[in-house]
Amino acid sequence: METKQLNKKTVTIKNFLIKYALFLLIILLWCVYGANSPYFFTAKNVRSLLMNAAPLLVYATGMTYILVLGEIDLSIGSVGAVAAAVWIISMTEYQVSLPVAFLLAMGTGMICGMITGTLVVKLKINAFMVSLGMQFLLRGICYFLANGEQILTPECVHRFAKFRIFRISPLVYISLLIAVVMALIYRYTSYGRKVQACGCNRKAAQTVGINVGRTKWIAFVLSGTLAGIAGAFQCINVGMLLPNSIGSGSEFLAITACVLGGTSLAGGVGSIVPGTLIGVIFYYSIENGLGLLGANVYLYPIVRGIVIYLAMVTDSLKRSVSVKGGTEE
Amino acid sequence: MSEKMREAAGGEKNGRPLSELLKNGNTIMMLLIIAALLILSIAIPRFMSVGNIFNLLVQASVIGLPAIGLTFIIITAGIDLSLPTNMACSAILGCLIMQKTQNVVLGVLSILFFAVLFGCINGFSVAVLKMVPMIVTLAIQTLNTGISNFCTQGTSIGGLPESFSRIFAGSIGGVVPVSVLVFLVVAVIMHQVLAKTIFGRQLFQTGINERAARVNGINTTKILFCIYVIGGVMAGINGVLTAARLNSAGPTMGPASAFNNIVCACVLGGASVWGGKGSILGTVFGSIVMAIITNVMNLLNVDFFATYVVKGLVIIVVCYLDVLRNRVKEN
Amino acid sequence: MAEKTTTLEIRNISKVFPGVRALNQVNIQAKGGEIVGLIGVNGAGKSTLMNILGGIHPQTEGEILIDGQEVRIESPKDAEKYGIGFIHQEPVMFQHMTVAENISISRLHGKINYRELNETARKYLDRMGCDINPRAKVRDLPIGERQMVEIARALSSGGKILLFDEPTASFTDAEKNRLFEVIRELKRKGSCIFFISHFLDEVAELTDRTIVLRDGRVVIEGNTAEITREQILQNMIGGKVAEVTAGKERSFDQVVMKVEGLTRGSKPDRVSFKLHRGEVLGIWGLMGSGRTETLRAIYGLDKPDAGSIYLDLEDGRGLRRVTPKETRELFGYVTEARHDDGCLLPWSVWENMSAPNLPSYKKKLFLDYGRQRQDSEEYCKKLNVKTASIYTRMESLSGGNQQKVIMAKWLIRRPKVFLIDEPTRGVDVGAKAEIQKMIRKLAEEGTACLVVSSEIEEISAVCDRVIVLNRGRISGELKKSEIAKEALMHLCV
Repeated sequence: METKQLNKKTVTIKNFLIKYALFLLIILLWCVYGANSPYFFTAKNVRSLLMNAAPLLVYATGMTYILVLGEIDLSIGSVGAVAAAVWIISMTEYQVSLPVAFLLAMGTGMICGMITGTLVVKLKINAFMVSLGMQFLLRGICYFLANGEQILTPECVHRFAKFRIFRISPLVYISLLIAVVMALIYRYTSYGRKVQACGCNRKAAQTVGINVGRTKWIAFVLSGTLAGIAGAFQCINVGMLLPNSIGSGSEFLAITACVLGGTSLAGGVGSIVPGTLIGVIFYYSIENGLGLLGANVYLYPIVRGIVIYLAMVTDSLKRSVSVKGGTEE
Repeated sequence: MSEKMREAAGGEKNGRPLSELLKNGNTIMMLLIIAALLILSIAIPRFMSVGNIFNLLVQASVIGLPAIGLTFIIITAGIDLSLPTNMACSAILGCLIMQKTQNVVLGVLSILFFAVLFGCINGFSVAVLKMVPMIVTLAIQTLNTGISNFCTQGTSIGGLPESFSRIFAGSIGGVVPVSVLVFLVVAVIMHQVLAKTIFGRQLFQTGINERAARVNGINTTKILFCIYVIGGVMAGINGVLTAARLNSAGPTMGPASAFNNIVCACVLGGASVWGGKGSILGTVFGSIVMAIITNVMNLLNVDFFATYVVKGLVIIVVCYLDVLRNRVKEN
Repeated sequence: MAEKTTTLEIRNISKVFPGVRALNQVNIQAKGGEIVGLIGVNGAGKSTLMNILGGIHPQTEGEILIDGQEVRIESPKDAEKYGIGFIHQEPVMFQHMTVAENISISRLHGKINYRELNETARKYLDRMGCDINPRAKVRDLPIGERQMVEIARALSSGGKILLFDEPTASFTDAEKNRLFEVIRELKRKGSCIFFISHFLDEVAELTDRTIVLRDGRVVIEGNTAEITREQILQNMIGGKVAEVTAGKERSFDQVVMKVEGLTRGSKPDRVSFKLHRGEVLGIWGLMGSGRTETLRAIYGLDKPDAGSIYLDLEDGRGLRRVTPKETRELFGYVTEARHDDGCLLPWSVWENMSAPNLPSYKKKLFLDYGRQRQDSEEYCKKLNVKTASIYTRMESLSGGNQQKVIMAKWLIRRPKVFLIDEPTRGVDVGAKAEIQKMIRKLAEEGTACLVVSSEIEEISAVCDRVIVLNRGRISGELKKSEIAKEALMHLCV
């Protein structure tokens, strides 16, 4: 009897370790960085980390909706690029003011999202392939708009970028605000609940009368709109529009951040706050810390690859434990 | 699978009606290619020159070799985003060894070795650790890029023995490039493997329904592991040929974005990202189409961004055709 | 809950699907405070009728009147509006969401107040006398309780008319009794209840009125108390039932397989038994007693923690210990869930039949397709599989024929031991008798069979001997003559 209980206890400790392995990994990484660099935990460093992370946070917030629905959108990077091109050109060529330019960027993203959404929902084409096609197509349009050349951000953007509220860039506020609002929508509105319901069990969602197609369509539009904002943010951070590199690969970074934050690619599970937020910060702190440690720049992706890999191993361990627990019931 | 069924139906001597034939993706694809070739040869005089055709086929082989590997993977609804970066990374590591030792055989073998090694990591993670293919291979892609850049410090590895490019970038009888020949031989072998061997049939079962396949006595773990290794082998062969053609190896030879062309080739060839479908013949056609698009755009001196738009449209249209085809079948 | 009694009238309802007339001029009347049982074989039109009432698909012709008003039900939302709740055969559940969210999901709009949501859920769960935490995630609930959540959802949308589509299919007896209590309680509160079931006993026990459907028509209708079992059976099938006669007690001497101390977690737990040549051994137990788990472990799909399997390979060496790899090659295993892991739906009949036997068709490096098709043709004839050709896709066959193809794929390899989990689940009456006869015939020809079934009639018709499982352990063994419901139940509780 006694041994049995003891056994049970060790099992729960093991389960606990596995369940929170990702958090432990993050804390371990931060401890290593913090111990080796006095700057890592300074406010200045956290501020710059958050500013760098702002565009990805916006991308990943939209992506969380798509992934929870059990879909995927590989076009958001290119959507961001097109929107950024519209954003920057409207200011340089047509002297549009910054807020209007932002609205234009959002509008562009929204239209792209509508197209992707319509192709997925109405024509029933596989989302992976549609969004891959859109990725190509929109990248071409971005080149076309920018005439294949890089465009420097105009003066008003510089002023905006240097602007600080409590020494923190407005980008950080805006991106956090977006994440929190989207998280509230996800948790506390009927639309958000429908998103999760469709992701959990599409057929059941249909049976209880949820319009699955429309729920999906709206998610694609949301994700496109947010991608438009994120593209403009990327431009602000870089200081110019580079048609070949802006947003390129951002879709996979966004997926990685979501998955690191506990969202499942199979749909139905995920959260924006804390999930995706943690994923994004974790992702950026890997590189940020390496920079502070003065590591070779070429070493960054190696470490990044290894850390993501390890994070995903912990995730698969977690799943295997929960599966076993399920059969034992 | 569908090919098999049709083959079987043909053997019945029922005389398949034309509509049935048209439902076959490969037939459509072949007709499209022939039509495109006809139009292009009239519209662009340079197009049909022997030089250009082989140039086109070399381009097709660069896309096609990893696409063959991806076909095996995609049949199980998996994905390998690391194929192009794996090619670059293992070519760089192998070429470093070749440069140091000036030994071509050792160099080529080490390229293959590293490519298979990365394939094994992918395979182990997906098959044994049950990790999600997209995320695992994304991590390996990042790792590959990192290693490539770290080893070359952003430049490329040159100073390879002269015989390396003479052998692997040469041509048979001065006409047929070695890479095209290798591509075709590999395609024929892999087609046989997929369509006619136990492994191929078991692979399809795993792709259609993994649980049912396990009940049917299939070691799905082994199958899943093997396909990622096959992907690695294909990336390795491609790495050898590409490095020989460039006579160097650098991170730019396999940018992560090259994956898009590869997966397009597979899907154009009738594979489905849901799994359970795909054929090598289709994939070979698909990679030729992707190569034609690039080639024609080059010949016509079209702005390169138009190529992106055309490729994007082609993918969406082909996927839509696939949706329509399935709808016809269901009715 | 209803002030005046609800009435439902179904007038001349027909439903035509492409190529099939699923319902033909059906007239039914029902009122609040009544439980109506709907019985019929698969394809008789019961589910179609319920789907029309539930708004899953609209009728082709005819009208529905609720409280004397004609209503058009075109979507699940409409059904909800008219107070119709549908409890589906397979639980319609969102696993990662809470009980409260599941109950209210279809009526959410705008901002969500979780306190209100939980209170609503509590209210309906209380009405049913259920003690489920509205904040719990559905994936953490046992199956029986999930069904309760679904009923609560149906209630929350008015609950004037409740449709139960084979709700007990995967229930234990305790869960079933609990459900019946709840249904009776709802009846007392004035709901009009439709109850669909395959099981005559259940209908007899629960309902006030019985309606039998066949080929889309109502063939007989009457008070449950007055209608006899034979009447129902005859009207269901429209002819005589093919009785399976098990024959007399047989004796066996040659042991083919010996299972010793097979253990994997808590199910199976130290399971040991012997199986003889030509014997059909039944395994009986309640849902969750570890029947399927035991078969999977014997077949070699799940690695056991302890225990071993001995087999007589007829090579003169007697019983010898075999590995899971060997059992997977030598045994046949018909799984419980046909569509889940039993067959490859998009593949054709012949491809499915050869799928597990590929190594035996090897010709040098490649596969011999001619021989595969030959064998399939042969076994289609042998087992009387009704299919256009061996090139027909599996998904277009009926359940019974699919099951026969699955049996055939294992018979092609001439299994040493044939493991069959629920041989006739979801199979219509005609094919059921055929399959049961087939198992008898196999046994008489010398194959050792291990049959799991939750139907006592099936066990007693097919098996020579039964072992009873209870929480993963063998709790008893019965000879053919001793098989009876009371004896079995006695051993498993």
